[in-house]
Amino acid sequence: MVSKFHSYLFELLPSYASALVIALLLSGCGIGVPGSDKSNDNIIGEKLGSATAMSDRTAATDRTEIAMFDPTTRMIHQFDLAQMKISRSIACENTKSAHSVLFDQPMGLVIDFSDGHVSMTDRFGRKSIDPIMMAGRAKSAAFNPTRGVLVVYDDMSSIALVKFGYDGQVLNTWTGGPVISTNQSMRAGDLIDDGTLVLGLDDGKLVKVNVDTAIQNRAWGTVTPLLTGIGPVSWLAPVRGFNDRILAVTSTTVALISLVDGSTIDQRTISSDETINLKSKKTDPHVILKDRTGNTTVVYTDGATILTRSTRADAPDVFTSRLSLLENSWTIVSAKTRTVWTIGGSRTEYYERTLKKFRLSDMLGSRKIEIANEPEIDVSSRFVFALYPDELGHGVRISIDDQSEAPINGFNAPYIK
Amino acid sequence: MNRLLWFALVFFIAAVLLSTRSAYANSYVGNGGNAGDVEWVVTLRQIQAGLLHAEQTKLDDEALCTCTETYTNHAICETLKSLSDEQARFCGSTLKAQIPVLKTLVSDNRNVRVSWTYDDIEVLEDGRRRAVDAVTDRSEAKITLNVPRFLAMNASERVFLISHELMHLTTLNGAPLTDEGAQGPYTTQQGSRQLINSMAAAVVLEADEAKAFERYNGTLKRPQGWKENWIDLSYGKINADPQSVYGIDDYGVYRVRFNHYFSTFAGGLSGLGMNVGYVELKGEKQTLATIQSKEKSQTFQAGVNYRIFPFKDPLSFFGQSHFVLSADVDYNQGTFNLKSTYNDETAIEKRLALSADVRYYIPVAASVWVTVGGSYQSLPRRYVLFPGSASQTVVENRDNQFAASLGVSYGF
Repeated sequence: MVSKFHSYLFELLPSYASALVIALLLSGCGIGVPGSDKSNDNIIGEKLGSATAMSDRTAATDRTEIAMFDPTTRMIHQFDLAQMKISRSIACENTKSAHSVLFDQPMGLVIDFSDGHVSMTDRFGRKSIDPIMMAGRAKSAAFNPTRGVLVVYDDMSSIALVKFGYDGQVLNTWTGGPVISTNQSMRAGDLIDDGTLVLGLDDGKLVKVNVDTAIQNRAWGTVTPLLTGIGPVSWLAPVRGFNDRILAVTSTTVALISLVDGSTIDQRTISSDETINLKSKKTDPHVILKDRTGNTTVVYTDGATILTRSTRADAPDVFTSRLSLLENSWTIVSAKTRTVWTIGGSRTEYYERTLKKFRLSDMLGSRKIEIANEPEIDVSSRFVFALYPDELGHGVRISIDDQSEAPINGFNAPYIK
Repeated sequence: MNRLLWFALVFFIAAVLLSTRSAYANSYVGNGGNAGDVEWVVTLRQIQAGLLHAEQTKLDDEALCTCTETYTNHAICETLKSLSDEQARFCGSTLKAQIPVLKTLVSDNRNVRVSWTYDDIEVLEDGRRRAVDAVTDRSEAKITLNVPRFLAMNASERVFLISHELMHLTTLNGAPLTDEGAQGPYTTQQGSRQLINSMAAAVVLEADEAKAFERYNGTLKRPQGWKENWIDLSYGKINADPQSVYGIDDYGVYRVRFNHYFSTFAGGLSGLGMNVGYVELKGEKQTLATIQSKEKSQTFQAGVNYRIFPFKDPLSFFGQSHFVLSADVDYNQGTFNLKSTYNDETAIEKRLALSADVRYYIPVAASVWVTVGGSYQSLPRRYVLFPGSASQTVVENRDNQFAASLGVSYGF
């Protein structure tokens, strides 16, 4: 794509000017063009991070609490975002490595993943150390608390299946490799609402795995592949309210696939002029495409067809996106990026970070808020929660409606040693 | 806070008003630490030098009571210039005869006691009161001196005065030498006083010839510990061992203090004084990469002092050096700030505490002193950061109460 873009420039500009522009584009510190979202490819469920999301695709409303691993204190703090206070802080078991967190608010269950270790803490503070055998570090997870099912995928491509009791106690587990059957390996997957694990395979087929059965048999067992006809799926997501269909993404297509027979119910082709900017499962699954003309298109489904909405609102790179069909809203946080070269490497800096909220039905822009570049952020229907890089701990809940701020300060203070 | 400051102010004014000198006008035996002690001892030594010089050099009686050129125009000489040859010879021979007794008297402080007073001294002569600078009690071998007048004199005047008073502790022809009546060729009613004054003037001249005045110039200019008012400046350190990770390890302590003593005398209740002061304490510390702790504590103090002169020789540096013990009521306001990239939390603590201070004053020059000491405050400073939240953090150093310090002081 770069060479094509260069040709276009050469036609328009004298050669020396073109060379200068190219040099600027390729230089270490410049405005980045929207990149293709690869980080969500080839995982099961959603990527795990040091903080959990406010959105909850398994529930009708956003969470009011999140959990976050703090590298300074090496503790997991549970934030009550309604009261803006710390509900509890949990000491991490494996203090050496980086940690990622999974949290279920109704169950009060905090799951702490670190290299080769998993620690679960229930609402009563009871800990379960390493209930799952995983050699690698958890990369992503799909969690269906209603069905008491957790699927964890690690960086060694192992897949751990966990069955929970009603209050978060681990009933049974089994860990299997990515090879589901002969010559068929998992590429992407997620849990649908009835607790079935849907996996996309590298041969372009889908399989449905009954987690309970797999755990009991301690094997993937005999599964019946569904031929989709759209090629290998790199990302798939359940569709809210539908147990028989998923939204799937390949390199060229966003498709609504039937889990009954693998047929394509509807699809949107990704043109050669478009790149996938982001794939998001907050709160309803959607894919954001960018084209060279500055168009930003969100592709989603209502369960019956593939729908798209486009805007020319300035959104350089979208890093966080939340789409809610129920609320008829689409909220994105975008920023410009630049690469800063350092001795021995480089880092990406964000700037001009902005939240934009649209009415999904007609893409009416309803809110535009400038957000500081430094914090990690997450978005709910009404708030942005910004977690700043601060050793003492500093977070701010920003109201999307009136931009009022509610801070929480010093939550690390009692734990720094 | 205002109430406490008013209390301190009223306490200070009352203490100054109550500490009038007349309340301390009783006799004190000079043994170091009193106003005048240095001048008293120096005077005795100058007299001793003069007597020794007279004994060794003045073989001729008349030469002893004859004015030298140096003192020709000095008041001291007025007495000697008016003497007849006979009177001069009588003066010389009498003085020579008294020298052994006088030498004994001045050889040891304990042989003659001095009593200091701020009251006017009057004697009754011929039924009339007469103001004098000193009076001698022969029965107790005690000379009473008016402090301000004695201090206002120059060295030769003091030698003259004390020589005169010492003569009253001697005898002539078996009778005590007094200011009244005739003596030999001193035939008037004031003749005895004239003789004593002549001999005292002769002692002054002898002391001068013996270079005794020059010898003690430096000693007399040295700072003296009896001063009533003192301004102290000091800087100290606190090395704490904080329990909290944010607690500060090292503090700088700045102090300014005014001390007032109720008396220029030493010993007993006379060592009492009072003080008002201000102490500022500052410290900071970095925790991890970005967390900065800063504490600033301001203390207003008011309390009592007691000074002790442990060494007896008032002419030595050690003899003037002294300890001051203080006990104070402290009103303290402390501010503790915890700052990181995005946090700026401040806790303010106000409280009353008690403190004790011990300080050693060492004379340097020109009323300037060096002080070393330490102070202890009864309560540790305690701060509550992020109060009432899950982030609540208490910063308390149990070892932050003792401060050692070094300073300078000016006594006046």
